[in-house]
This record gives sequence, C-alpha cells and structure tokens, in this order.
Amino acid sequence: MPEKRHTKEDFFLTLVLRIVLLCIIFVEVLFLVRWEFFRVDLTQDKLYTLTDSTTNLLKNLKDRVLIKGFFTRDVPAQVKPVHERIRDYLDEYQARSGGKVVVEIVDPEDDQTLRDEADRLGIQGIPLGSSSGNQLSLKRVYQGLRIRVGDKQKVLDLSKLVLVAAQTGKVPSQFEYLLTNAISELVLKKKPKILVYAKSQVPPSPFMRRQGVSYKNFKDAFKGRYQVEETELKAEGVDDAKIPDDTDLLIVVKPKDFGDKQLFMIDQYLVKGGKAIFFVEEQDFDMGKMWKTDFNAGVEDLLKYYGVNVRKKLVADIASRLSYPVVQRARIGGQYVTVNVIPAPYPYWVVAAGVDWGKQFKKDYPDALPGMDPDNPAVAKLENALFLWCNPVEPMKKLPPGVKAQVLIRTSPLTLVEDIPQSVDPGMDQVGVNQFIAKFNRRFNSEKTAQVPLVTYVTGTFTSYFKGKKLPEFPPGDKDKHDKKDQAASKPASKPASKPAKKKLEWVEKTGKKAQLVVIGDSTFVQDSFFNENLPYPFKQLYEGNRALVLNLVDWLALAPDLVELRTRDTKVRLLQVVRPRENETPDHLQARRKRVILFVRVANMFAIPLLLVILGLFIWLWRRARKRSFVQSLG
Amino acid sequence: MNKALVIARREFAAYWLSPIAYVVLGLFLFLNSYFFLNPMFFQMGIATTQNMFNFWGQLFIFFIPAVTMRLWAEERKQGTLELLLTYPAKVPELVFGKFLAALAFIGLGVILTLPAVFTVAHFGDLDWGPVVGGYLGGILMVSAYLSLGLFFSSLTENQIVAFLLTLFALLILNLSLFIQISESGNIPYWITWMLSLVGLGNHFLSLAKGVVSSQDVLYYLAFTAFFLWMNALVLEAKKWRG
Repeated sequence: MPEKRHTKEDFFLTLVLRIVLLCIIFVEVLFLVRWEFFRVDLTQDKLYTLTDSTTNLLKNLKDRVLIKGFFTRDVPAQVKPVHERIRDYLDEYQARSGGKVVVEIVDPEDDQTLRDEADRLGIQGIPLGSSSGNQLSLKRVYQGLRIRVGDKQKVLDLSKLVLVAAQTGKVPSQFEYLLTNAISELVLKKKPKILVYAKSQVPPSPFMRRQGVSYKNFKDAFKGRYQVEETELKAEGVDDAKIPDDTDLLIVVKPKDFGDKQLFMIDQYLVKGGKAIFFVEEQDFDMGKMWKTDFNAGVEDLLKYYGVNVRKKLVADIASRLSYPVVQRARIGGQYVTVNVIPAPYPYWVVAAGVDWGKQFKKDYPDALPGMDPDNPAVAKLENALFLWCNPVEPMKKLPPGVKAQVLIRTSPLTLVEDIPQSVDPGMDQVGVNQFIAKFNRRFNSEKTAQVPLVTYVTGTFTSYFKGKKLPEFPPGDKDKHDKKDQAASKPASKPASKPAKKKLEWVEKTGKKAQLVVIGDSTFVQDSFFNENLPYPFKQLYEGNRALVLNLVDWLALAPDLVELRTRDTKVRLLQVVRPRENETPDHLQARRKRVILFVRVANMFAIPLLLVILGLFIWLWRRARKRSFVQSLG
Repeated sequence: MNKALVIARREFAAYWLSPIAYVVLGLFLFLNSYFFLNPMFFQMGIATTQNMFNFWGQLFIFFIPAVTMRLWAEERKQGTLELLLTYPAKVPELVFGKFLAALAFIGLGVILTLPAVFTVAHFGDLDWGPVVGGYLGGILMVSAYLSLGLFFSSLTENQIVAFLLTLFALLILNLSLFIQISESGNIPYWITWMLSLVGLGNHFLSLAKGVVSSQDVLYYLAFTAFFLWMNALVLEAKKWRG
C-alpha cells in the first residue's frame, strides 16, 4: 500500500482547525477563570479579606446593586488614604460580586448638579483644611455613598467615619459592616426578627425621686437591620402559648415574677433550637432607688436547669474606680440648691475591661483570665462595658448533658461579692462617703477577692425544663372559642351539641436542635437613662462600649457571627517618615532637612542604577573590542 | 525543554551585545523612579508601592512592544528565520526559548526596581504583601504582553508594523483601565463588563494590591500560553510554506 503523503492543503486545513480549536479553548478558559478556587490575601492586616457574610451576600445577589460614591478627589493628605481604602473596599465588593455590584465614583467639587444631588441625598460636604503651597484654605469635602437596588435606595454619609479614621490614623473596617448591612437591608426580602420583652415602668408617683424606666433607645438600636417586635410573653390560649417560630432571637430584659406560663413559652422556644439573651437582675436598684425591696425575677431555676446560675449576690469591683456623684444640697432662701458634688468611688458600678488581668496583676493574680473572652467575636475586641448593680452569672459546675458553657465577660481579680445589701447609697455628705469608702477598704483587707463572671453563654441541645413537671394550664383560647361557635352554628338545633375535645398543649421534651443562650447579670445599663448617647464623660465612652456589646451579641446570635468582629477591627495607616525630628530642631530646619533627603533619595534612585548599567555596557563593549583586537592580531 | 533553555541563554546573551538593551533598561528604571518617587509621593506620606505598580500597568504597554518588535521580524527581514527553523529544535521550543530570553531581560529590569522599594521600606512600615503580589503580577503581566508581542512580531518582517500592532492590541486590551464603568454612561454595561473581563491591566492591579487569586494567575497563564501557541502555529505555517 503506498504511503499517503501530507500535502500543503492538508497542513493548512489542520492549521486552521488547530487555530479554531485553540481560540475556543482560550475563550472557555477566559470564562473558566472567573471561577475562583484559590485566593490569598498577602497584606499584613488582611485588608482584602471580606468576611464570609459579605462574600456570601455578594455571591448570592440576584439584583444589580448600584453604588454611587460622592468623593472629593483633591482632599487633605490625612484624609486621602482613608478615601483610597474605602475605594479599595468598593473595588473588592465589585470584584467579589461577579458584576452584580457596579460602582461609580463621582467628584461633586466642580459639578453643581452633583453637589445638588449629594445635598438632596443628605451627604453633607464638611469643611476641611487643605494646604497648597504656603496657603491654608477650607474646602467642602464630600464622602458618601448612595446604594440603589431597583427602586430602593440607602445613603451612607461617611464624614464622621472618615474623620475619626483620619484623626486616629486607623482605617476602620467598620466600613464593611456599614456597607454590607446597607446592601443586606436593600436586597433581603425578610429581615431577621427579634422579639423583645422589656417592660417599661412609669414613675410610681410624680412626687418620688425615682424616675420611670424605659428601654426605647435599646429597642431602637436594632431597628433597620432587624424586624423588632415587642412581646409580653402572655398567651391568650393554648394555640398561642408559644414564641412564634419565625423568631430569630428572643431578648428578655429584667424579667420580674415570671410564672410557669412564661417559662413554658421560653423553654419550648429554646428546646426547639431558639436563641435568646437574658438581662437578669436579682435586685431593683437604680439612681433614684438605693434601698432594697423584694424582687423576684422568676427565671433563676429555668436558667439553672440550662446551666447558668444567676446568684442573688451583688458584685463590687474595686478596680472599676468609677465615681458616684453625691449631690450635696442646702436650703437657701427656702429652696434646696446644689452646693457641692462629691465624687464617691463606687465599686457597685462595675467596669468590665478588655484587659488581660493575668498580665496586669502578674504578681498577685498570675492566673487571672482576660476581662473579655478573646475567642468570642462578640466581646473579644471590646474595650469596656459598664454594669450597674450587677449579679454574678456563673456556669453551673455540672452542666446538663450536651450543653457547653463559656464565660464571655468577667470582672477584675479585685472583686468582692456580697449578699444584696439593704442600701447601696454612698452617703449624703462627705462623712457618709468616707464611711462608705472605709467599709470597702475594711472588706478589701479582710475578704478574699476573685474574678466574677458577669456574662455567660451556654449552647447545646436543651431538654425541656418541664420534663417530669406539671405543664401549665392555658385557657382554651380564641381559636377554640371560634371553633365551638362554628360547630354550634353548623349543627341542627334539635341535636345536642357534642362536647368539643379539650385542645392539648403542645409540648416537646427534646428536639436535638442547638440552642444558644446568653445571660447577663444586669439590665440597668440598657435603660434609657444609661443607654443614651447624650451622657456626660466618662459615661458616654462607657455607653459606646455597652452599645457595642449589645449590638455585637445580637448580631452574633441573630445575623452573622463574623460581621460582629468588623465593628471593632481596625487597620492602621502606614506612614512614611522621611526624617525624624532631632532635639531642639526648629520646624523650618526640619522641613529643609526633609527636602534635602527627598532630593537625594530621588536623584540616587533615578540615576544610580541606570549609571551602573551604562558602566556595565561600556565595560562589555571595551572587553569585546579587546577580544576582537586580540583575535585579529592572532590571525597575523 | 533543554533546547529551549539553550536558545534562551543564547538569545539573552545576545541582548547585551547591543546598546539598545542598556538604553531600554536604563530608561525604564529612570522613568520608574522618576514617576514613583515623585514629590507628591512624599507629600502624601504613605509607605506604599501602589503608585509604582499602577505606573507599570501603563509603562509596559509602550516598553514591551519595543522589546518584542524585533524578535521575529528582524529574523524574517535578515533571512535568518529559515536558518533558525532548520535548527534541531521543534518550533515551540524556538518560540519558548525566545520568550524566556525576553522575559529574563524584562524580569531583570523589574528586579532592578527593588532599590526604590527598599527606599520606601527604609522610611516607613511597608506592607510586604502587596510588594510580593505586585512583583508576581508584574512578571505575569510582562509574560502576557511578551507573548502577544512575539506573536505580532512573527506576522511581519517590518519592526515598526510589529510595534504598532502590539501597541494597538495592548491598548485595546487595557481599555478597561481608562473607561469608567458607569450606570449612566453611554457605553453599554455588557461592553464595560467584557472589557473588565479581558482587561490585562485589571488583573495586574488586583495582584498588586496583595491579593493573589486563581482568576488573575490563570488568566495570565492562559493568555500567555494561547499567544505562544499561536506564535508557534504561525512559524510552522511559515516553515511549510518555505
């Protein structure tokens, strides 16, 4: 058989086929590489690692998210890196969304239409100092975002955030928290639902010193991201003797005299894998009520059953050093007027700090644990939290099977625990205050101090508290009444109505679903009088800590654990220091020296290596010429 | 592979016989320092190499065509291509050898920018993550540009034509760097999206931030492999045509 010869036509046909095939493969590869199967963030602060929550949100976007950024381009040097960091974040959102997030950045500085649009949206340009040459001038700097999904939109004015970042030298990753939350709000059809039990109290009498108790600020703190509903934990009948199944988190603030019916509803919610936060107190002190009265929360046994022991003791932390303002009054001209305010050190106001107490008290308490659990995202980065007249909340020594406990916040090692005293009044005058202080000094010298848990978390599969107990009896409820009416109407009058079967209370002993429960030994700090941003120093700072604690716990349990960390995770700006000031050096001299160093650095970098290359080239040229000559000479 | 390395070594050595290599590298390093360590950089006062990498994205669009324009075009013009094709090496090995030599040459230039980086590290707390990412991205981007340049150089014997073709293609492929994606702009969204997908510079800027992603790395590797392969096919066609 003759061998088949490859002709040119065969070759070119093969070539064309190979080119077509190659092009197809290339285009497919281009689309294939859109699937990311590895990604490493090499930056030290993990600047480009968005949280799983953000990434999941972006990956699952169904609608286009249009982000319009209003940023003044020419801004003071200290603000510039913050703007750049925010733009990096926006780029990352765009990249991670697979084209669903579209970012447009505009500069309203020279465009009246854009300025009007920014003003209309509520993005306020703030005046900032800008220096050009030797002149210092003020200019309006815009920094805000309009996020739009379909016909819904949300505006983020970032002025405050940018200013804080510029002043502290830190670029807040809180931006991710704000942006992710804003997008979530716009794209999520259904917000997580929080059910809040927080009963306000009106003042007992207008003539009494004691004010009413309200939790409005506390409840408002969750609105926006969550659907907040209030509950009294009361049931009309058997049918509604439960917490609604769509509840993502139950918050119980200052339970008082809880009975079996309320406990039953809470118990069944937790047994079915619910999440709850309890703010529990064993006393009823507040600013206008310093004397002990009978108080019963009614949830102690239930919590003990789940593994948390709220002790009927009062905590006094000597390390807190917060003062109670004792107001001295005198009768002048028939009226009582304030003549003096004595700051009384008040250990019943406990400031829990994010301090490693073992390091702080290396000598006396080397085994002391950190004030905030470093492994828990909700509290790890908190600097402080204020608890007022609080109770120890300890994990039970013997936990129920399948349940784990973790102390989230504990006091300093210099903490005393006492039976709830008859009075927590620091005194009316200097003598009283001195006696109050002396009492603590005596106790501190004679009693043993130790760290006390204030916030405890338990999780696991809970068995019903009502196992082996009699279930509470609920009335038949409206639904049953309607059913009875309907039955009566549909049956002939001649026949006697049969007695309807009594509806049975639905009860489950165990579901195997994981419940999560956080118990805090104080509720006073979430009252409006303390959960309030208009407080004076140092309460304002402590309020910020308390607000972060509450929001972190709620987000951690109800929303997304890793978003919580963002609220307190900051990254630093890496500054360039060309020259370090010398002792007694004038600013002019420093500036001149800086200019000299910069000039030297620029010239050296621009010319040194190119010059070396020229020398190397010359050397090679000379060497080759010499070799050529010697070769020619060798030829004779 | 060994034959490719032998060719690469020979080609690399040949670069240094011409003064053009010193001029090109010297100019690249001068411009790099001139634009990177500019007075504005010191006024900003941030220890970062981002400006340098941003500048690379644009600088290489003009530098790489200058390096690659002569690689095949000159061989064709001088008639040495036919001689080269008779070497006891396969066409892909020839292509890869030339590519490696050009990559080593530009790679050396890239490495010689390190003193500028050390200068910044001396004056501030430099984050080395983006530096590593930037250099890795730089090498990958240069590889992609070189493969494209080599391909266009193989199509013509006129170096200027090769230069212009490569420059034009690189500008097209980097259009996304110059076009603002806008919800209200005149350019349809799908065009801007496509441009960002194939945009060579975008992938580099992502790496230069310190994020090494399979998307960017694979994109450059695929792009480089595609054009090197196309280059080999063009030369094989030439070999057959005689």
